Parts: sequence; structure tokens; C-alpha cells
Amino acid sequence: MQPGRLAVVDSDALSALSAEQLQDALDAADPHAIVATAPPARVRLRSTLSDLDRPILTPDAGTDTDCPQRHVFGDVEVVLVPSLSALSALGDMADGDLDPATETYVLSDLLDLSVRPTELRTVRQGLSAYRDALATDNPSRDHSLPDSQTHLSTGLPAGYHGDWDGLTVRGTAPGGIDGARSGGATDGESAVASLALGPDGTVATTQYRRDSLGLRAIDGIGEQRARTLRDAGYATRDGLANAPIATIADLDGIARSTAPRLVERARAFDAGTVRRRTDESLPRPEPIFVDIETDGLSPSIVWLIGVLDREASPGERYRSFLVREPNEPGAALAAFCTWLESAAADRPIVAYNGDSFDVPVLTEQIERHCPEHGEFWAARRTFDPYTWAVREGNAVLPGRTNGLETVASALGFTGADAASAGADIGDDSAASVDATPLDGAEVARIYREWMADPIPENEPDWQTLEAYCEADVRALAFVYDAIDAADRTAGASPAERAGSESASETTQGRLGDF
Amino acid sequence: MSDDPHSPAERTQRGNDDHGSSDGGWSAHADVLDPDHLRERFPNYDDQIVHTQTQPAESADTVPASEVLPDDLADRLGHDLYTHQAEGIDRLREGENVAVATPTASGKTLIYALYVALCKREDPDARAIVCYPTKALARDQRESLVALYDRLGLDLEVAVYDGDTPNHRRPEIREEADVILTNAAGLNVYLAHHTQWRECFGNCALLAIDEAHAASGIHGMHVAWVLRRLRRILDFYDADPRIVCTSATIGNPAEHARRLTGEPHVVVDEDGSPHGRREIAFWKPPLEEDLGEEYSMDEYLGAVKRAGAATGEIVAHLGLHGVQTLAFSRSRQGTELTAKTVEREAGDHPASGTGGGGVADSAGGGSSGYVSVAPYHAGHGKQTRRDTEQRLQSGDLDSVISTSALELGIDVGSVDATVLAGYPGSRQSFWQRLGRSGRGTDDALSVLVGRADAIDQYVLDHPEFLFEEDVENAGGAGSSEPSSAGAYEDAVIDLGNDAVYARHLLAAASELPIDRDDERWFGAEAVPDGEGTNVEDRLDRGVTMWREAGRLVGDLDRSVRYDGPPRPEADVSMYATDSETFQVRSVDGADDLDVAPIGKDRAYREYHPGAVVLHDGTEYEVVEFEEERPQPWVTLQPIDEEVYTKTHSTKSVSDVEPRASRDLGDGWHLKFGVGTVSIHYAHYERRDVQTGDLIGDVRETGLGPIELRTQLTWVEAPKSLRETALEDVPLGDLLSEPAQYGKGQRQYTFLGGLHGAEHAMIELAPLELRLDSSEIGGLSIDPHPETGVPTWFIHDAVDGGIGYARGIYEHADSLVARTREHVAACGCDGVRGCPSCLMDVQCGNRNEPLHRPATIAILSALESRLD
Repeated sequence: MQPGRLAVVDSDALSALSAEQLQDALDAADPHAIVATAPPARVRLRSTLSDLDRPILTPDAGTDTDCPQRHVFGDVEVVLVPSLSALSALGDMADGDLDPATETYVLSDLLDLSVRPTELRTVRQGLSAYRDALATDNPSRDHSLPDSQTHLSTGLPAGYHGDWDGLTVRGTAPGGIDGARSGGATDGESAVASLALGPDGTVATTQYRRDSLGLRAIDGIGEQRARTLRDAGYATRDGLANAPIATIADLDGIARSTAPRLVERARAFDAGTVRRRTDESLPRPEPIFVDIETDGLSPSIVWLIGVLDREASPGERYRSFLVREPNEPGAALAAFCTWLESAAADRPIVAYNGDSFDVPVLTEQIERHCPEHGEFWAARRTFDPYTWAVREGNAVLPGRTNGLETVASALGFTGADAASAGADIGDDSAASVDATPLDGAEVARIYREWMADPIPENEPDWQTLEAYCEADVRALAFVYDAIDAADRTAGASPAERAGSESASETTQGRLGDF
Repeated sequence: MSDDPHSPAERTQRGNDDHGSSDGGWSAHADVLDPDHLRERFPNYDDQIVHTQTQPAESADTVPASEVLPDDLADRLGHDLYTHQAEGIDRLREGENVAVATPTASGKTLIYALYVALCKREDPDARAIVCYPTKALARDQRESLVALYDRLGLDLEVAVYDGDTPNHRRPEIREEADVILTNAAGLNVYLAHHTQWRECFGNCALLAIDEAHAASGIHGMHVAWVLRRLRRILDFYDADPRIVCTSATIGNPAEHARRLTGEPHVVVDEDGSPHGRREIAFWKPPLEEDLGEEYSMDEYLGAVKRAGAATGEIVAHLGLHGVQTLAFSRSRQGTELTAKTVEREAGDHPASGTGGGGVADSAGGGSSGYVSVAPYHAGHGKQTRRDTEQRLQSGDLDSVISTSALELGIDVGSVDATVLAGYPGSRQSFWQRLGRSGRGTDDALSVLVGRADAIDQYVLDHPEFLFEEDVENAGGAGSSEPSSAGAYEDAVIDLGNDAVYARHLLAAASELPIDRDDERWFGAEAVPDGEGTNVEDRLDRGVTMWREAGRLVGDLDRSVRYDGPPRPEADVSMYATDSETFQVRSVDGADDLDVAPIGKDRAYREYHPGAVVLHDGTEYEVVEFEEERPQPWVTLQPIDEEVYTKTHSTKSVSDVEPRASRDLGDGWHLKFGVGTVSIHYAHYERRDVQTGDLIGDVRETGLGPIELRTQLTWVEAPKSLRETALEDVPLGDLLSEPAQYGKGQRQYTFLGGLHGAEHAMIELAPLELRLDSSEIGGLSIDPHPETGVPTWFIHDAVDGGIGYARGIYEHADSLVARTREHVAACGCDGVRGCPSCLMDVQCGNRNEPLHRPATIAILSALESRLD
């Protein structure tokens, strides 16, 4: 089973993107279809990308279309309803016409939400007309709607998820909610949202900011330098990667000392390889790879610890410590510490962005819930590939952000690599990895719902969540190996290293990527 | 501002050292402002001094330190404590929270500094968190605290933790510092990482809010919610610290501390510190050209001598007589211009050169016609400022002209005199600035130079109001302060602004899940004295709103968790009520403005395209107004011309919902509530600062209207007032109506009366409340479509409200009385009023219509109903 993939392009944002940036976003999202939030966006998409071979869906097509348009993307059905009358027509379709076993996604611009903080209330625009249209002329249905429908609206921001009097509603548009704009990492200059629509109703969202697309994905290239390079004929990362350094260094607006660094980064990006910049070596012996799942970025619980020990016997290499019962947060932590003590006390612990997140969070939670292990834990040696590569400037990683999943996939890590997980623990989680699109935020959200109300209907599919975590741990090991195996192109000057440290300011601002 | 914890003895000692003599300040030259002397010596002196007042010297009231401190600490401290210091420490030890409201330089810091020392003796792990209004102040105070603990022989680590603290130092400070000095904007962010602060928060024995009066208005309400979030986290770690709020003297120290922190405080305001004799002169700049009977605001501004120019003349005069002076000016340009005036005037002054005579000579201050003067403002580099401070302290400079930068607690020693170019807007700030001269027991001299507006004129006409020690608080609901609080303005904190509340609620949910128990922090209980504020079910409504918006999940009976993009606290903008803020950029893209983002309401009002704005003393023109972006911005370009802009607006008020009201009888009603204010800032004009002349045409802003859902106070008057208000107005004194008006001269004149009442009440509101009058507005209309009767509204000019309209509702009795009295006593000749009574530079309707006799009749009628 495959999720359906949509790329949603906002009209306003589109005008600020170069053709290369737009192409880059679509290459990254690889959507089955593109959603244009307004007709002008459709026109611009067509004119900018002449060889576009994906359908463009425009929910705001005007009133002349009162037919629902049914599409199958991946293994899910997406129905475009450009108007209320089209929605009525959908409502009139026999239930049997839509497959109840897999989620159907109904896409429109008919639902809108504004938050009025001065009145402490929200206004849901379009809901009653929407419900009426869905129920029209179908007495057998009345207002009871099938559970297997998710209503997507371009009037709501991607990442939005709500229960509107029984309707499951999700947003698709890049940006924030009217009246409650958020400066968070997914907002700001987000230009393209990519949605993976799972057959089980799970939706994963990735937002592409303007400054992570095209040339601007390269650390050190802002709007000004991107324009300089474009004007000089280097409009893509690929073009920059193949440019002679001397030519780039001669351009006005790019310092001589900067040029080699930019080209080097473009090459690493282009080749999907790690470029080592120093002779610093990775820790020995063979480490333990760890990733944790929490209930958010200011966590109150660590509910899943995934651990990969590649020196263990096959079948025991990957293990996870899971907290099913939110009221007992300590047991898994204690089990993890006990296992670590017996199996791998002397080996370094590797966690991606662990210096900023996993390690301090584990430290705090262990101190709080199983202080008897506190001393042991505090004495562990930890290693954070992100700090080592990006902050300390020892290596250049490929990918438009330095987030683990982005880097791993730029290095060639695939679902199949993650699926090898299944072999170790002998179940079919590999399949769910493919079918259920998840990201860290969605996983945290699922657990929060469970914590908020742990009734059987809310119980998460633990296997799926464990598989998600496992895929991340394996991605981490993959990145680690890629760094380890990379050629050591030493000789970067201290000045360059300093430069990359200051550049990490921007990455730090985006810890939401992790 | 914040005083250092030095002993009285030490301060006196230092004062003497600084001046190399012990002549007790300026008094050796006491007659420099004597009218006879001035007539002889001051160029064109024409009785500009309208009043002088002398405050007698006060000696110190002290308590032996050993009565409060253990013997060893008392010995090492080496001096007595002022009575208010001793009382503050005692009350803290008794378990009370303390609000200390005593004047500048009275040693408030010592109260919490010594209390921390006492806590440490009982619990070596105890920590203290002190919150300052500025980063600079935190750094200044760190030095003093370190010196104090050093003297006491205590090994306490005092550290500043704020946006400038390097990352690598942070973990160590969190874990080890005994006293952490920070600010509310920082806490807003640090609370998200409370697990890293466990050690500090869990052992927190004292929370001090320094300069608590600075936390008022928009910023104040954010600080109040940040402190509730902080206390909630402290509670989570089982800490229940004592709280100290120190402030300059304000009218409502107990209420303010309670609203700010959520906890009751006992007030300590009997100042035990000494001060010298102070003479204060009130100076009214003359008109330099004749004006007719009726004139416009701009004509008046062109004719009157600028307060800055008058200040320059006075400073020159003082300098030539050996009186070292610190003068305060509104703007950076003002400091530069005034400094130039001082140099020029000193050369021309009769006291200079051979004409100098003997008076000045004895001062050693230079009868040579030369006064050494320097401007001082934040635009100068740090080194330049340090040099100026040092030269002032050493006596090398005769005078310094400063922006408010030197109002703060930066130690420049003591000068002989202070001159204020304009009333600084509150008594608290007035005394703070005056207090920079004659520190300790030295005698001091001060001059207030009035500007051409109603509040300054009020102060010149009623100087006694600055000295009132004890006025009966005639206000209606609300004020329950002890009478000893005196006649100071109330600090305003509005906890009713739902937009601000909602932002902090979201941040709090992200810090720790929320449940029913949090009613304590975010429910009705969190708003003491909630009259007029709709706090019923507030937590439920807030949670429901955010849940529907997809930002919270769960319910209050179990737990509510944050569910949105990371770092919701980053959406709290400490200087705006709305998260939809505009960045303020400079035209070259350089990030040198360092302005906090501004709210949309303020952007439309003051930063529309073409507007001239004053930032940190420099004038800028708004050259770009970009709203259609996820992050809107305005771009500023510095300008050299001395111009100002006036914005014309049209306004309506609708959907008013009263939350409190007083039926005054006879058809009069005073009401407070919420309503929608729609304002269209459609046009603006540009005028020359010196002449008031219009430059070019009236231009369009190009902006559409903006709607604010905000708080308002309004007066509904009986329809019969249309006649009774004009009973004593002769036919010839009616206003001539503009052609398009069409309702007749009488009605137009009546409207001029309503409009005048609205203006004058707004203009004089700073007599009652600490407020920024640009953040209130008004509308006069007859009839208003919803009230159906003649009505004038006074509204908060920020979305959601800021508490000013509510404060005016509560202080209506005294405000109306003062306003009526002031307008009636104004010396202007015409019927249309003048800038000293009815005209307001901020009027969006070009000060039309205004009618003073009708205004007086209307205010008198209202006043008689309020009695």
C-alpha cells in the first residue's frame, strides 16, 4: 500500500520562488499531483515548468464545475470538490462507490478557520454549508458520515488537524491560521507543503521554506548570493557543483574565500555524499545508536527509546523500550539503563542532535523517574554526529536541511533499508513503514492524544510507531557509516571552519526539523 | 532608577569626593534663579518663572543593622539601615511578600540583597531570581551586588542570564549561580527549558521584580503573564519563594504588585533615606510672535519658544554661574540642538565676559563665556558615553543634555541641578529625573520647562499637584490603597486582554500540560479585582479556542497538551498585544535599529507610509509598509529635516458591550466595556517643526481601515444637553459650520463641546494613570447609532485593550473635576481653545470642531452628576 503524495503550492509564495526553486521542491516532494491554491498559481505553474507531467488540482476553480473529480494517487482516493454543488454530488454517491477500507480524501477550499484571540473564540467558516451539502438528498445517510473520509482544505494550514463536529479536517496550505499566525519552524516563508496521505488516514506533512530550496538550500547562500549566481548562469545546485571555483570566486558579491566553500557544499549536495573537512575520527568502539520519541519538543515523557546494537546477535540487534501506559513513565527508562549497563556499558552512545535533545531529555527523565541509574547514565560517553559535522565543522552533509531524515535520504537511505528492520525483529513492520506516512510531529501528536485520553479507541498502533522509530535509528546508523566511510578531504582552513560554525546559527533556528 | 545598595554614609562620602568640596551643592549660588537676578542677568527675562517651590531637607531615619541582621553580618555591613530597609527585611522574614515603593536612590535593592544573604544562611542551596526591566540595569546591578556580598564576606555567585549570555556559560550559571539576574522577555523563552533549570527553580527562595513600575501598559501585561507562568513552574518544582516588587513611588503599589505577580503584598513606602533641600522652578517659555485671538495648533507651535531652546538658555545661565547641570530632552536631535544652544547662549550671555560680575566668579564655574557641554544619548558609541559620564562625574563638564538614557540608574555621581525640557509624563518620572541632582544630602536645584500642551500647562498652572502628599482618592470602583500612597499615578496592568492571555496560555501548555488545577494561574483567580473583565470560564474558553485551532489537545479534566509548531512562546511579542507584528527595518537593511516588533494597530497609527517617527531620538520617515507577507514589516529612513507628520483619520465605534456602568441620573451614564473601533488612517500632512508650516500637500497613506476589538469608557449624555450646553454661548461665539456639515451652527458648536471634553480628558489622563497617551484615542458623536444620545468614547488604541480606558472609568470623578477646572482656567482668548487646553497634536480630525465654553458647560454638568 502506498500513500498518495500531494504538493501544495501557495499562489503568493509561488511568485517569490525562482523556477529552479519550484522544480527543486517538486523533485523533493515527488508528488502524484500538485495542488494550486488559486487559479493564478495554476497558470504560473504551467508557464514556469513547461514539461510538468503531473496533474494540477485547483480547488478554487470557480462555480462552473459542479462535478467531483475523482483521482487515485498511490493507493488512496482523492476527490476534488471545487464547489458546494460538487460536494453535494459527492454526497449523493452511494457509499459503496467509495472504498470504505481505505481513507478517502476530499479536497476543497470550502473550510476555513479564523481565530479571534481578542474574543477568545474561533470561527469555523463554511462548516454548516459543507455538512448540508454532504448530506443532501441522501436520507439514508443523514448526517452520519463514514469514518473513512478526511476532509482536506486549502483554506487551512498544512499540519492542522481537527475534529469539526464529527468531520475529520486537515489543512493543506503552506503557512499559518488566520488570526493566529505562528512564527514556528513550519511557518515563516514556507512556500510549498508536501502531504503524504496514508490509506489509514495518517497524514505526514513536510513544508519547504523558500530558503531551503534551490541554491538557497546550500548553507551560506542567501537571496543575494542566489541572485548573483543565477545571473552568472549558475541557477541550480548542480550547475554550481560543476562550476570552476575560480569563476565563482570572481563574481561580485562573493568573497574569494567564500567561493570554495559554496562549491564544495554544492558538490556534496549534488553527489549525495559526506565531505569530510578534517581528520577528526569518529569514536570507537562500535557505538550504540539511540533515538527517542517524546510528547513534543518540551517533553514531559520519553515513551519510546529505540536502540541499535550491531554487535549483538542477529535478531537482537534492534530493540525498543516502550511506555504504553503514560502513568508509568519510569519502567522503560529503567529497563533501558539496565540493558545498557549489562550489554554495552563501555560503548559510546550516538544520537542525532542528541547534544541538544535526546541526551539532556534522557538525563532529566532518568533523574526524575529512576534516579538510581542517574550516576551510571551521567557517566556515559555520547556522540552527536550533527554537532560534530555541522556545528564543529568536521564534515559537510548533503540535504536541504541538516535534519536526520533529509540527510539520510540525500545519502541514499531508502525505505528498503529501513525495512531490513523487519528481518531483525521478525514481524511485518516493514510494510507499515511504507504505508503509514509519519513524521516526528505526527508521532508525538498520536501519543499526546493517547495521553490526553487513554481509552481503547485512542490506543495507537504501537507496531507502526516502533517501526517509525526503528527507521530513524537505522537512518542514523546509515548516516554514521557514511560519515565514517567518507574520504578525508582534510585541509580546510581554520577560517573556513569558523565560518561554518557561525552558519550553524541558522540551523539552530530550525530544530523543528528534528 | 534602581538604586545601588550602598550605605547612606558611603554615598555622602562619595558625593563629597566627587566635588572636592563640601559646600553642600548649589546653595552657594542660591540666587541664580532669583527673579531680580534674572531680570538683570538673563537675556530677555520676562517672568518666565511662574512658580518656585522649596522642599526642605530630610534627615535619615535609621535602625541599627544588628536589630535586623545577625551580628556578624551587621558588623561587616558597617552601617545602619534606613527604616524602610529594615521593615522590608522584617516583613519578608515574617513570610510576607513586600512591595517597596520609595523614591530613587533610597536603597531598595539592599532589601532583597540582604534577604538573600539571610536565606543562604538557613539553606545553602537557596537561589534567588531577580527580574530587571533592561539588560543594562541587570549588569549595573550585578556589580553592586557582587561588591555587597564581597563586603559581607559571603561567597555568593551573582550572574546575569539573558540574551547576551554566551551559550557556553549558560549551563554553569543555571546550575551554580546563587542569584540570577534576568528579564521577563528572557524568562518567556527560558521557561520552555524548565527541566534544565530544575536545580535553580526547585530551590528558589526569592523572586524579586526590580523597577516594577516599569512593567505597565502593553509590556506590563506580558510581564504579568510571564510571572504567572514562572510561578506555575516554580510550584511544579515545589518552590514557593517570597516575592519583592521594588518600584519608584506610584499610586497603587499593593494593587500593582498583586496584579503583576498574582500574590498579595504588604507595602513598605515610609522612606527613611535622607535628602537635601531642593528648590524647583517652573518655567513657561514665552510666545515669540503675537497670535490672534483664534489660532490653530500649528500656528501656536510655530510661535512659542521651544522648550528645548529655553532649556538651552537656562543651562547656559546655570553653567556660567558654576552650577553643574544635567538636562533632559525628548529626542536625540533635541540633545544635540540644545547643547549647541547652550554654547551659543553662553557666549552671548550677560554673565559672560566683562559683564559677568562677581556672582559667577566665586563659583569657579567660568565667567569666561564658555560652558563645557556635551549631549548624551544611545546613538553615541559606548566609549563616548562612558567618557561623558566620567567627565560629568569629575566635574570636567559643566552640563550634559541627555535623553531619558540618564534617567536610569547609571551612576554619574551627583550634579547640582537638573533641567527638564517638558514634563516627562508622570510624577514618577519627574521625580526620578529631578533625583539625579543633589544625591545624598546635597542641596539641589531643578527647573521644569513647560512644553506647549495641556499636560505641561496643567503642571505649570498647578505645580502643587506634584507635591501633594495625600489626596483623597475619589475614584469609584477599584482603588483600595492606603492613603499614604500619595498623589502618584496608578501603574496600569490589564489582565483582561484576551489576545495576550491566549498567547501565554499556549506557551504555558507547552511548558507543562494544563488541567483544572491551573485555574489558579489562568482562571478567574488569576485576575484579582476582575470587575469589568470577562474572566468567567476563561480557561475553558481559551482551551476550547486553541483546541479548535488545532494547537491544543485534550480536556481540562484530564490534561491539555500543546499540539502545534515548536516554540509557541516565540509568538509572544512583549511589546504588542497581537502576534501579528510588524518588524521595523532600516532602509539599508542593516540591523541597527534594535526595535522590538510593533503591533499592527501601532503600525497603522504611527508607521503608515510617509509618517515621520521618532525612534530613540532620531527622526525617520516610513518609506515602506509591507503587510502582505507572512512577516510584515515597515522600513525606516533617517531624515535630516526637522518635520513632523499629522495623520487624519476617520473613526467609528460599534458593537459596544457594557461590562460596568454607573447611572448618574438625569440621563447621564458612565460606562465601561468592549467595542469594535474601526479607524481609517487615510491622509497625513507634513509640517515644519520650527514654523508649523504645511510642507507640500495633504497625502494619502494608501492604507485601508483597521478594526480593533478593544476596551472603552464612554459617557452618554442626555439629549437636552444639546441646548443646555449652549445656554450661555452668545450667538457670535457659535462655530461656523463647514459647508458639507448641514446640521446647523448650534449642533456643530455642541459637537465642539463634546469633542473638547473628550480631548481634554485624554490629555489630562496622565495625571491619574501612568500611560502612554498615544495608546488611547477617542470619538465624540451625536447621536451615536447604538447609544442613541450624545456620546463620547475614550478607547484603548491596542487590540484587546490595555487597561487605560478601564483606569479612566475608575478615576473618572477626579479626572473630570481636574479637567473641568483646567479648561475653565485656561488663559486663551478665543472660543476654540488652545494647545494648552483642548487642542491635541494627535487629533485625527485637525482639532475640529472644538469649543471651549461648550466644553466647560458639558464637563460642569457631568461633574455635578458625579458628585
